[in-house]
Amino acid sequence: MGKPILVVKDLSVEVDGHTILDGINIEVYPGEITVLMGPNGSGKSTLLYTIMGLRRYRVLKGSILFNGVDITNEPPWTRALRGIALAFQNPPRIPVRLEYIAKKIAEKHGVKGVVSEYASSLKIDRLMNRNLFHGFSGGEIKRTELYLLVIKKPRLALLDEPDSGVDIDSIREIAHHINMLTDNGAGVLLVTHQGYILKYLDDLGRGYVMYNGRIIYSDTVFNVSKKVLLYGYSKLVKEVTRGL
Amino acid sequence: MVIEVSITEVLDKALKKAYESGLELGKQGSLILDESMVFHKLSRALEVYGVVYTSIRDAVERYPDIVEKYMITGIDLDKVDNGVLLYVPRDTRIVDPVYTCYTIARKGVVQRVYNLIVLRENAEAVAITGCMSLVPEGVHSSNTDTFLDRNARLYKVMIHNWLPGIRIGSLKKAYLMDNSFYHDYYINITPPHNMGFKIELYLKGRGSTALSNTILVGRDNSRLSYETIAYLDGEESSVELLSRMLGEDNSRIYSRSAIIARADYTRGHIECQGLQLSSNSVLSTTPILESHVENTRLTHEASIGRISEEELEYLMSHGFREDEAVSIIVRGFLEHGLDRVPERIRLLIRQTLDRLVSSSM
Repeated sequence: MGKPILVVKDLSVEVDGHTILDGINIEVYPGEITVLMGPNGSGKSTLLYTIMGLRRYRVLKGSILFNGVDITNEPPWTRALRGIALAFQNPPRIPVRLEYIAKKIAEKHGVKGVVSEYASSLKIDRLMNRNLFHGFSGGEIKRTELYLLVIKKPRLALLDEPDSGVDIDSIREIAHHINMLTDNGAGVLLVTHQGYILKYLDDLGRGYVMYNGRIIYSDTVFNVSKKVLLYGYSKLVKEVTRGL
Repeated sequence: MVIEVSITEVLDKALKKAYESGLELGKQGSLILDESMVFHKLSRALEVYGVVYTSIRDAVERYPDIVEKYMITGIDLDKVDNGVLLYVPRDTRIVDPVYTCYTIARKGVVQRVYNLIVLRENAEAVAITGCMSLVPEGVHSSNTDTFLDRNARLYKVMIHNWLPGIRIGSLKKAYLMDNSFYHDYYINITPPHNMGFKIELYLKGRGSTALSNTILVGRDNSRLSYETIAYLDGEESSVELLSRMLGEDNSRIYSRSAIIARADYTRGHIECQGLQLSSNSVLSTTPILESHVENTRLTHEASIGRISEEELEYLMSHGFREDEAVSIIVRGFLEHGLDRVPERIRLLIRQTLDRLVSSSM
């Protein structure tokens, strides 16, 4: 299995004075997709944003190790340049053309030649001259977010519900590109609410279920998604408490 | 004590600043220093084809029929210090830009300018004008008349690079005949103390089209007032008035755009967006749509806002420091509409925007 690329140790996080995450422990391995499931508001996105280092998310205790280096107090741009990339669930609209931002991101990460290739394979060519996320459909937002992530060739990809609000064709395209990430040795931490995308993904590793800011259950992704579909989240909590 | 400054030294400074602004005067163009045209140069081949590019003083003497026939403003040329005439005869296309540079080099000078641009049937030209100052005090007052005959195409770029004590007044009028096309692109790199700018577009011909892109940057205590009015007088004529305003420091920018439809089957769109980088700055935009006919489609959209924390965090998560994130948003915001500028002048505008943003951050 090798060494984990990401280790989250006993992490507690607050946002605007409210504790959202409480004692989270998670590991992500290179070339493998780790899946985090949970109901709305359970803290899944908060965990991804905290790993990325966004400033609203204040670490109360615990640590985040990337490739063995403690990055808990690093700003987001340093983490990004180390190889951590986040695809937002609801990215903000930015009044700048997508092509311009993609070019700047590629320059920043020293990547050449793949920018237009990925735009074509993710079918967002025709959006390149539009302002970022202005008037984009749900599927276009997800594909664009993944595009801006893959052009950086990340070592750790944090994907926040890339399958929500998109049609089946888009899910297949998105899954294909996630599989490409792990094929290239990246570790993936994938947040999914419903788990629709899982059947299109290879290299599935560990699965976690988060509920009220805590990890309540962990197993293989196959077993985790089976239990979620069987019980639903509320009943799963009761089953876990009873000793599943 | 008397300080003597040689004309060569001033000229060197003016040329240096012109070249820094991307104005390649040596290729094809002219330099007007204070009240006088210091030099002008036009390709001999173009002269053979009947293209005229000369000072307005010379034009009055040698081409009075052109000046009289195409002048729109009715200005008293005896009260004008200088300016240029660009006349392109029918079926003639000038591929390389014609650069004109106005420089205020003497403190307190009042530079009164009149320019006349005439493109006859099927003619095409790219005219790039740079206005700049070497001293922090002076007045630049300009009138520019443009006449585009049938099927003529004009790309007009104006770059302002003033110093804070300069006051500007500018009026541009353009007549567009059948199927002619006019693209006006304006950027101010460094704002003057005070500027009043007005463009009047008269789309007289059937199927004539105009596009106006305005980039207004307010800094320090500058006061900028910009007004564009387009009259859709020819059937099937159309116009787009697009503007971007950037408010920094204690600056104030007032922008007013109006489209008046007076012929059927016309279209007009106003888009004005403002980005406020300082809470002490003031941005104001007023879009006006007025229709006198039944069959027209006029639309507008306007917005003013700040850079949000979400936008900054988003870009920081892509590897940019906060100042870099601001710079990207500002640069991208200002670049709007550049894809519609011909390739041969896009690079100049991109470099101008790069300088503008780097001096802003």
